[in-house]
Amino acid sequence: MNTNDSELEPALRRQAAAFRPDTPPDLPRKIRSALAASVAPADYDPPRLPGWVWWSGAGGAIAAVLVGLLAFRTHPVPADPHADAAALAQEIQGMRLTVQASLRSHSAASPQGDPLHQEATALADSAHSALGFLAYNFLPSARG
Amino acid sequence: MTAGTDAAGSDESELVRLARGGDLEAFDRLVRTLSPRVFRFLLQFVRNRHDAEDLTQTTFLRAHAHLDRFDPTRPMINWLLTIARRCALNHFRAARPWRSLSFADGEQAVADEQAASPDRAAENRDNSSHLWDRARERLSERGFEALWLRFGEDLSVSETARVMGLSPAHVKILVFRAKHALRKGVLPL
Repeated sequence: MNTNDSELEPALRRQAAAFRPDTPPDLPRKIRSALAASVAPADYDPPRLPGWVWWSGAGGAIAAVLVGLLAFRTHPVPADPHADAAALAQEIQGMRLTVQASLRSHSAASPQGDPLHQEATALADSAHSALGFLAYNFLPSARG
Repeated sequence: MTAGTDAAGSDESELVRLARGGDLEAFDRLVRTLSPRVFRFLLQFVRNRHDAEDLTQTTFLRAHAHLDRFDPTRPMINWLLTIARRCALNHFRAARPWRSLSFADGEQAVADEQAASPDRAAENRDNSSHLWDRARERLSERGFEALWLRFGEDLSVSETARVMGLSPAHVKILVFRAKHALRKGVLPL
């Protein structure tokens, strides 16, 4: 058995070494090309939209402009924008007073230990603070 | 390992390091050096030059994509043969199994070889028409594969086991049985 192995293995090696197929000469070039194509980021080609999409979009834009013009003509901008801001500030101030008054009247009518009263008080405080915050930060006339 | 092999190994490691950094020229040098062996290995399996060429290309593309997984302390050819083997198995799954390839299919490779280089083809036919052709006829797919990796590619038992995804003991058994089956019809050499 050993004798056979000592003959068989070298013969296998020898005959395998004799099998020398010609490698295609352009194989490295092909691999390089395929590699370059796979490594390079593919050019992004966005999908082309059909023509009717463009036309409907343009129609929508024109309609929006017309609606805007109509609204402008119906409600023109006031000569003094600060006048509106001052009026809005007064309205908010009025809302704050209403909330405070509601809170006082509710406090007078309800016992102090009532959980519903406590919840209403907390809600009124939150609303009062929120209105004050909005008026102070977004209405210039409210700061004075 | 000789000094020349050491130098080749360090050169290969350097090329792999450069290729990992995105140097396509370095990877191209690895392709030029190692593609003939990968091509020869695949030609043994698929027995068709065109398929072997395509699979060699696929092997190197996959190798480049997963270069970070390669252990540079080992020879790169072993890793490439592992990838090539998987590519060939996938190819057979998609087409038809290795066992169903008739010998005429195998002779197509020889015919292609003759067309490419008549002298070389004649030499190959004379030299390899005995043992390896008989091995292909007589052995199972795994037996042939183990025998080729062991003696055709001259890998060690452990390297063959790694390429085939088997244990070294399994490879030893496969090679032992392959040689036993081959001796029956071949000896005396």
